[in-house]
Order: sequence, then structure tokens, then C-alpha cells
Amino acid sequence: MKVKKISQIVTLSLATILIIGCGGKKEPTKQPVKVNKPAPVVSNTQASIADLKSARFGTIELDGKKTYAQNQTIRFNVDTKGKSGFLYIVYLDDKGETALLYPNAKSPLSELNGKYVFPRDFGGMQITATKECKGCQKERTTVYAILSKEPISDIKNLKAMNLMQGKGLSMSLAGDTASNANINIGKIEFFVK
Amino acid sequence: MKKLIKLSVVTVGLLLIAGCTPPKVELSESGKINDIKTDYTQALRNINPMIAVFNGSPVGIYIKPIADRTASGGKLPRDISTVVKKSFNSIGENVKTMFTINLKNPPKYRFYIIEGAITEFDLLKVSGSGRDAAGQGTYNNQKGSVDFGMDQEDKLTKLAITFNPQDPRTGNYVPNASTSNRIEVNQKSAGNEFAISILGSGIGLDNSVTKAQGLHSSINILVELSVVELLGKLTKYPYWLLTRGNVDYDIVAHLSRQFLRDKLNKKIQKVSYLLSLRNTNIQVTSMMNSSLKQAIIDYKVAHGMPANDIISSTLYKSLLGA
Repeated sequence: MKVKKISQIVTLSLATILIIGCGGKKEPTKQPVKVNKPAPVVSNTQASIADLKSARFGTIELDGKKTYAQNQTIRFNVDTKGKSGFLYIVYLDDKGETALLYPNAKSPLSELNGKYVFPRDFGGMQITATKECKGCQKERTTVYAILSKEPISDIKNLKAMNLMQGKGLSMSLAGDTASNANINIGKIEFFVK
Repeated sequence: MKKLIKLSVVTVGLLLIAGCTPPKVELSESGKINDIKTDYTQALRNINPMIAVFNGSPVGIYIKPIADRTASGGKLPRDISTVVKKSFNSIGENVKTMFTINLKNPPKYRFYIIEGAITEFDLLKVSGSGRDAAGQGTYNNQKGSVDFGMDQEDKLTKLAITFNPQDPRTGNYVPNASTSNRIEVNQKSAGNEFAISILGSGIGLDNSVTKAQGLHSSINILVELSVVELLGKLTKYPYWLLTRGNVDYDIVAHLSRQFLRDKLNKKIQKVSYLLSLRNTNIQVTSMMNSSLKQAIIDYKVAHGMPANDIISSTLYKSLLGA
């Protein structure tokens, strides 16, 4: 009698397993569903030349030759002093004209941090010294390096007055709340004979 | 009656374990056995340019005997040093496989000593009768262990290979550079077919289906992919892009710091190389050109970044998969 009961239980449990499967856990095969992943949101914050008003001057270092002969290749060192950001190299002549040396069509803007040689490390462009004044003994040229945490959207509109606000001061005082640590500027002056 | 209870427990256990638990890797019965030298071997080939782009200088490797340290009972090759050496030696000129070390006159490039072993071997299902597997059965709320034989020809083999690199200059093991990867080989009863699954943090082939030509070929694959990961950890290149594994954030941090310090030409080379891994039409270059510029813009747009050609660390990290 007992044996009969047990054999019934065994048959029943086997039948249950066979019919239901593995504890009823088996799920119907799911068809792969295509989900259009939303594009990741990346912050698109940008700086503008108006932010140069509160830039910190003299906080990145530029050094090199102080005098060039005409048509001589210009070369100088840029040291971001451990700061990271997007670098712009801007030329300013005696007449107050500016020109963006870097970035340009061949050398895109890039984020960097360290010591570089300009122009060697910026795409290998060649920049030569020229003198526009006629009859003068030498002409002064100033090159600024602007290091900004964010790309400067309107850098093409940069004017000499935007760079003059530092007035040649090469230090920023500790606790100076007016200065903007996100933009650092350095400069180098040289003469073309 | 006792016999009957035991029989029922064994039957239920057998059904639960053998019948209800599918193997991790399924291979269709009609599947053709293909040569394994496909994308895995390509991963090994890709190391040479990766080292050139991300490391810049060659690396030397000296391999100590790599043996089977498991109780496999002769089921595995005793020594796989030759397979490991072959894998390193097939990479190219940026990996120098050394047959001797002269510490008094060391080579100019960095070099490492590789120590390793087969560290794990399990045969989970085997053909034939006998006590090949164990399980637990419950009857009337009483738990008990049962052993049972399986009259089944499928078998699942697991084995793991570990590599520990040493730096002879310091006399220490290189921190965070050890690799330990496991392979599961599922041999189907029909036609001696094999399916493999490689498990490891650096290798993302879990549950992928690949047909190999046996256990020895599977060892080759595991060694090759472990070599990709090991060299990636030693020379700091994004090996997970080749092995489809998890992103190694220590290497991402290292690469990101290095990227900021790179010269523009090097940055362009790295970005174009990473883009070329996704799109074979892109040429690796160190000078910006219009097609690369467009490829960068396309990539940025597809990944929610501003549509420009600015070489930023955000772009770089995104290309690294981080």
C-alpha cells in the first residue's frame, strides 16, 4: 500500500517536472528588442573672450629668444605649469593687430598640460619673423598663450584690448577673487631686427 | 521502499542537474567546425600597432617555464611554455621574446619576466558511467547528498591560466598586472564539436559561441587572449578594445594623463588609431586631414558631443570606451 503511494508520488513529481519544466522557471524565448539608446549627455560649456577680463596673467610660462633676424624661424617654449586646458597662441604686433597662430586649419584645438615647444609640438607649422616698419631698427612682437579650461567659442573675435587688461602684470595675488582660475595667460615679447 | 526513495531522489536530482541546467555555451548540432584563427588571432596581431601608438617603444619578454599545476592527471599538456612563447613571438617587432637574460648587460628597452601556470582544471561532466557528478536531492523535507552516474557524452571542462609578470630591475612582481582567465570548453556529444566560453575581467567573451578544434586549441585561444591582456597591463594600452572585456580604469587614468602631455601629432595619431578600430576606412595619421576631421565630427555627433574637431580628453576617453 505504502509502496503504491510512494510510486504515485514519484510519478506525480516526475510528471510535474516534465510538464512544468524546471520549477516553472523556463521562460519563452525572448526576441531581441532593439532599443535606441539615447545619446550620452556631454556638457557643452564654453568660455568666451569676455571671460578674459578676469583671467589670471603670468600663470603660464613662455620663454625663448628675445631677438630674431628677419625671416628667422620663431620658436619658444610653453609651460602650462601643471594646469590643463585648451591652448590658444595669439600674436599681437605693435599696431595692435592680432592673429591666431594656433589653432588653425591644419592644427586643431587640443586639450593639454605640460611643456611644449611652439610651433614644433603643434603640428609642425613654420612661423618666421618679419618686420613691417620701414627704416626702424627693430619691431616689437608679443605672443600670448591663453589656456582655458573650456574652449573659447568666439576666439576669432579677439582684439588687442582683450589682452591688454593684464597690463603687463605677471603675478596674481592669493585670495584674489576677481581672477578666474579657468583662464590663464602668459606672454613672450621679442624683437625683429 | 528505501531503494525506491533513493531512486526517486536520484532521478529528481539527475533531472534538476543534468536536464534543467543548460550548458553555458550552446552549439548547434549542425554547426560547422571552423578554424579558430579568426578575430582572436586578429587581437594578437593588433598588439603590435597598439604598442607603437600607445607605448612608443618595444618591450622585452622572458618566459619562465609555464606548467600544469593542477591535478589534471595528464589530461592537459604538462608544459605550455612553447605555446606562450609562440604567442608573444607572433606579435611583431614591438615585442621581443627573449630566450636568455643577461642582467649585467640588459637590453635598452624595458623587459619583464613572465611567470605563470595552469592553475585550475575541472571536468564537470564526463561520459560513461560511475560517480562523475554530485548533487543534492530533497524528499519529505529531508536533504541528502546523492551521487549519480550520467550516461551522457557531453562534457564541460574548465581551466584557468595565470600570468604573473616580474620586473627584473626592481626584483618585484609588477603591481596590478597579473592576469587570470578561465576557459570553459563544452564538448558536445555529436561530431566531437567544441564550444568555448572565456571568462575573465579583461576578456569579454563570456557566453559567446566559438567553435574550436579541441582542448589544445582552446588553450591556445586562452593563452593568446591572456597575452593581449598581460601586455596591455604592462605597456598600458587599451587591451579591452581587442578582447572585448571590461574597461581597465587604472589604464584609462594613465592614458588620459599621458594624452594631455602628448604633442598634437601624437594626439591625432591616437585618436585616428582609435577611430580606425571602429571604422576600417579611417587611416591612422599624425596630421589632421579633412577625412579625419569629418570622422571626428561624425563620432562626436553620434556620442552627444559638440560637432567640432577639437581633440579633447572627453573625446579620447569616449574612444577608449570609458
